[in-house]
Amino acid sequence: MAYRCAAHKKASLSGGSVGAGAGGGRGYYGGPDRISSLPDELLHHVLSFVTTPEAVRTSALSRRWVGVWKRVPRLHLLEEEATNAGHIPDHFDGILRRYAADVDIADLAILYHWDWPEESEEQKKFLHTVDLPYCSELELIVEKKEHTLAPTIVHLLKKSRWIKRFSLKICPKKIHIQCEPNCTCRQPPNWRDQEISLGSLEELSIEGFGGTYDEKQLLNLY
Amino acid sequence: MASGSGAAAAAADAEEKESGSRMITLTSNEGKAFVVTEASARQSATIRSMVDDGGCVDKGFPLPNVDSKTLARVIQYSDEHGNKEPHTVDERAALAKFDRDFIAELDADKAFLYDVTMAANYLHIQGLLALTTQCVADTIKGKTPEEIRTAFGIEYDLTAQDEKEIKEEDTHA
Repeated sequence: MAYRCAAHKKASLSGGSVGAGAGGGRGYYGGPDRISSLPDELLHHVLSFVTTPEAVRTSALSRRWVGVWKRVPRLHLLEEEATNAGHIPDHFDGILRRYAADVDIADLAILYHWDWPEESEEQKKFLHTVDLPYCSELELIVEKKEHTLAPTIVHLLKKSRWIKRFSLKICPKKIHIQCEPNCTCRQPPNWRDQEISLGSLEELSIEGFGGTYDEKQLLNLY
Repeated sequence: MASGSGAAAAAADAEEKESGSRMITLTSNEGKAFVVTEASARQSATIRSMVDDGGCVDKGFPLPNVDSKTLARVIQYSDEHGNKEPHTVDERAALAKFDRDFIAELDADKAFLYDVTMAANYLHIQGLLALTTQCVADTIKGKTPEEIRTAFGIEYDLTAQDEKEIKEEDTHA
């Protein structure tokens, strides 16, 4: 399972108060080192070139840096970059929780694979409780042969009420459904009873739609 | 800079605008004037929009936030990127080499690198801004907080309490 969310918001870097050698602008810090006197918007720009774990680590540099990473408009939570490999869901969840809630992330990617439904309690908790940050475009790529697709997507969409454009790519094209009667996806709270509100949705595209039962059920949600 | 008057001058002006051969004056905060081609000045989205809005091209553009040393360096970049359009593989390679040399020189003088970064941001020169911020980011990459502090001369001012809170956040994360 992988999902990627991208808001193609044009990067706008408003100038104005920024003066060479003046150290002015927002986030001014009067310390002796020059980098800390750069305005926040430039530090965000800098941190958008390093991995998210590296950006998070800069919070330990000095007081000036404690909250800087929380507003970097690029957040990539990738399994292979995670520093705490044993507890990836908690690790990702912690970063998402600490990230500023009002930033429209221009570039958000969360890549994390697991076998459904052989998930651990920790994984289940993550999927059910994860709070997607504010983002206006969500691209969901389902890469694995999930035995059932809809519950996963429903859980994610419940968290994505801001999205305007939603695109779903299903690969491989056919999804096998071999769902036991006592499978977790059939247990309450049943995903079919859940309410999703996508009031801002303007565009929806689905690729690789196979027309299986689950996929049709998913469409009924809209 | 010639100021156009009458239809003929206006036509000549328009023609010059077409060919991009118009000259534009940029003035640093120390009052030093730099005359550059319009193509070079247009590397800056800030100046570009002022020119396109029919702004004060003849009067030139005072830049109260940029000192002469920084402006000269910024113009060096804009000239290279604005006055030549790379068509061949060799030309593109030459421009890439220019960028590498340009940033290597700046990287050796961090304080000046920040001045150029601030100016690139103020003038909205995206290519230059990406070049300088990437350079700063490269210094952060793969380093421990202690190594980053040393590289940038950042003073450690976190209290034991701050440190504890950050550690707790990290272990929760």
